[in-house]
Amino acid sequence: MHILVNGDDVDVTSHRLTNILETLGYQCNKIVVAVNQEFVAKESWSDYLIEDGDCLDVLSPIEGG
Amino acid sequence: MSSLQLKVDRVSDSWSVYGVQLNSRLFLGTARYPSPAIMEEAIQESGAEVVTTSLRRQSPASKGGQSIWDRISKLGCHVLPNTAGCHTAREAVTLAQMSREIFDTNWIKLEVTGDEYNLQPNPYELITATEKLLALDFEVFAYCTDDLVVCQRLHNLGCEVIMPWGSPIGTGKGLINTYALATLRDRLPEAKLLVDAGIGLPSHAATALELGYDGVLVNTAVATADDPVAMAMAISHAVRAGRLAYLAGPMAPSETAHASTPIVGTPFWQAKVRN
Repeated sequence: MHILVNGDDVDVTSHRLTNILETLGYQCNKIVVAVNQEFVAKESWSDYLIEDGDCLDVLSPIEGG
Repeated sequence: MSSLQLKVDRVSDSWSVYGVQLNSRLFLGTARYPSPAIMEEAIQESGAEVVTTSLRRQSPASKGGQSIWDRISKLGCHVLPNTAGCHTAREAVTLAQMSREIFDTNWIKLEVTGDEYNLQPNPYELITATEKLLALDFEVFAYCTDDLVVCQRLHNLGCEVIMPWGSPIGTGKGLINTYALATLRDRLPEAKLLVDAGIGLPSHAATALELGYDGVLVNTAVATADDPVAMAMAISHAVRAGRLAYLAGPMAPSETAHASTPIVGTPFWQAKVRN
């Protein structure tokens, strides 16, 4: 399955969001996720299924003004 | 205790935003400092109790922003996440929801950029986003221009904290339209008003407080100073000075001169009469 993660092309086998994040090496304690510009709460990651062509944004805290 | 000390203590008038009591009227940004350690020291020395943060895309190798979050967390400040970089209400609402989850706060500094040249807020998207976020129980700190009608609309929607710019972000040009800012203060007496963006000097911050603004949000002026810690302290003092001046009730300006030294008993007046 082909998806976009933070703008990069990625091929993954699992559809489950949790599995995809783990496969990509994200530490899940300090990230938040949006799929196709819609917020996906952490509590629903394990049940959330990603589809071919979906766009994931995986964000973390940074400094800000 | 000296009379000066008594007066300075009088500035320690606590206030609140969305039910959170604060003693400082300076909000400080956390970006663009020479180092994280200098950022920490500047925040601590400024006495700021609210600091702004943001979210950005991260690679797995960055360990999820844990380092910066650890540094900010240990300061014990209230975190005000922003939606910097968003151009639509939809983007801003999504980013706000993501911020709420990771920062565990309903506060959101709502930024929706309308023009890339001067990073001017888009009032239409800002108002749409504010409506949606308030409906989702967010507590919105709206970054906007000094447009009276836009600010009135934000206030009427239930936005408690309105943050007009002094001038475009990062310019350091100060308060370029004090008439508009003063008008906002007069027309929205119940709103919490903070000048956000454009403050480059302590005097700019003092002016905002002298106008009756509840506070200021500063980042670049501190972070890019040669000595950020010293500038943080300077602006903190300016905020206190401005607030004290506002509470003191400034004199009314006059078009004509008025001698401050009493006229009665002026020496040599007879000579002036003879001449």
